[in-house]
Amino acid sequence: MSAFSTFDIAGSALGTSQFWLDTIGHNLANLNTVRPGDEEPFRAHMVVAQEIRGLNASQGRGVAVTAVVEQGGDAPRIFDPENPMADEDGYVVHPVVDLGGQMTDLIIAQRSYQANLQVVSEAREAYQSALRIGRG
Amino acid sequence: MPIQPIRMPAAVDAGVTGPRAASDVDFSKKIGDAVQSVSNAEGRADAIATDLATGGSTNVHELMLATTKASLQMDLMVQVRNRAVEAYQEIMRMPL
Repeated sequence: MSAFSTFDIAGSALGTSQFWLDTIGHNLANLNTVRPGDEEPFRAHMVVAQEIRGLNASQGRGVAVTAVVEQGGDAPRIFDPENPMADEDGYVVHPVVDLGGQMTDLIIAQRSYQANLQVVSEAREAYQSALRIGRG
Repeated sequence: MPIQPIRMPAAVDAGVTGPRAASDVDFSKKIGDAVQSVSNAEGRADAIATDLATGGSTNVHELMLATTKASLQMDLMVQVRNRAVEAYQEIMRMPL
């Protein structure tokens, strides 16, 4: 256990939240990415996060991104022969991105980032108070 | 009701018998280590700041955490030094 372990724990969560925000940004950026009808569509990325365990099993060390998986489900295959991406039969596949779900996740990710910044702020105040013990 | 004398617990009693060996607490080495550790923390913060400024993969929060840690470690070292100097001055003021 290092001297300022709260910072490391909150830092790991900040990194994870940042990664989640980036991923949601990527998904939203590809909201209109169509592909030819015979290809795999763009699928929203989903972040898998797991806790980091310390040497002592009861003591957590934060959180880490362990995997990024793609959202399942059927992609809308649409007849659009004018589209430059259309295949020989005139079909394109639209991406598998749930806009409502992504916006909700965006709020959660942003709140998670904010919550961990609050942890950092409180920890800093606590450490500073500890350093004031016995002063004056 | 008879008043019982207060006894020191055995463990504490054993700990205070006789002065410690001088090599046990080498204060100058300890404070040297603390200064070294603060210097390392500042070096890390510097490296992260350079990485961030030159478009590396570092995030903003990592820099802020590193600088906060360095600053707190510096404060801690200064507090330890203040206590040590205070104790020294207290002893120097002792009339003999």
